[in-house]
Amino acid sequence: MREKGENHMRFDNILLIAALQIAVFLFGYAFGRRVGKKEGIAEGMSLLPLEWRKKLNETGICPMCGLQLNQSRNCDNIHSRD
Amino acid sequence: MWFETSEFNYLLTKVFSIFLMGIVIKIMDDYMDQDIDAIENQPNIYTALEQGGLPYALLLFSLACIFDHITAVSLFLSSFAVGMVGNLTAKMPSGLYGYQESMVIVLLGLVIFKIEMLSSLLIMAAIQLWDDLMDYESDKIRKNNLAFLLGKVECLLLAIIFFLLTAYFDYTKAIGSIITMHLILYIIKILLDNQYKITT
Repeated sequence: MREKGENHMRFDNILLIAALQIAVFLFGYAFGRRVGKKEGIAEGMSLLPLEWRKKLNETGICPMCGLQLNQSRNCDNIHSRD
Repeated sequence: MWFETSEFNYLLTKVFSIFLMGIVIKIMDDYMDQDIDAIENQPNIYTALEQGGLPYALLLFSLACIFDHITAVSLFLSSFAVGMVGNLTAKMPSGLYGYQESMVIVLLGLVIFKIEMLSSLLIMAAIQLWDDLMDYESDKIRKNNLAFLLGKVECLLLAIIFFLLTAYFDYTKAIGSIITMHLILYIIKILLDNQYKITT
C-alpha cells in the first residue's frame, strides 16, 4: 500500500465530507419527494369531486360519462314539488 | 524522467487494465441484452462479433490480468455482482437466486481483495446508475432501470456519492473508469455505425 502525503489526506477528507453532504441531501430529497407525492395524491383526490361538480354546473355535461343533461325540461321535478 | 518512475508505471498498467476490463464488461453486458437490443434495433457488440464474442472477451480479460490482475478480477467480480442484482428473484443456472449469487461474489471479493473490491463495487454501481440515467428515455421496455425505480435525481446523486467514495479509496480507478467508459462507448459506437453502413 502506498503512503499518502498530507495534501493527499486533506483531499481525501474533502471527498469524504462532500460524499456525506450529498448523502444527507439525498436522504432529505428522497424522503420529501415520497411524502409530497402521497400528500399530493390525497389532496388531488379530495379536490376532484368538487372540480367535477364545477364542470358539470358550468357546461351541463357529465365529466365522467360525457352525457349532456336535458336542460329544456325539468326531468326530476325537484323544483316543482308543490 | 517522470514516465520512468514506478508511480507512472503503476498508473499506466492500472489504466490499461481498466480499459481492457471495460471492453470485457461491455461485451458481457451486450450478451445479456442482445434480445432487447434486437427488439429496439440498437447496436450490439456481441452480435456484431458473431461467434467471436466469448474468445475475444476471454483474451481481453487475460490481457487485463497481465497488466494488473487485482484490478481486473475485482472489476469483473463487481460487474458480475452488480449485474446480478438486477435479477433479484430470477433463479440462476447455479441454483441460487440473483441476489444470493451477488452476495456470495461480493463476500468472496471482499475477503480476497478487501479495499480494492470495495472501490470496484462502488465504481461499478456508479457506472450502472449513470448508465440507467442516460437510458431513461430510451429504456421503455426494461422496467428494472434504476432511474425508474429510484427517480432521476436520486439516481444521479447516488452515482455522484459512489463516484466520490471510489475516488476516496482509489482515485486512479475512479477517474480511469469514467474516462474509459465514455471512450469505449464512443469507440464501439463508431465501429458499429461503420459496420451498419457497410452492411446496408
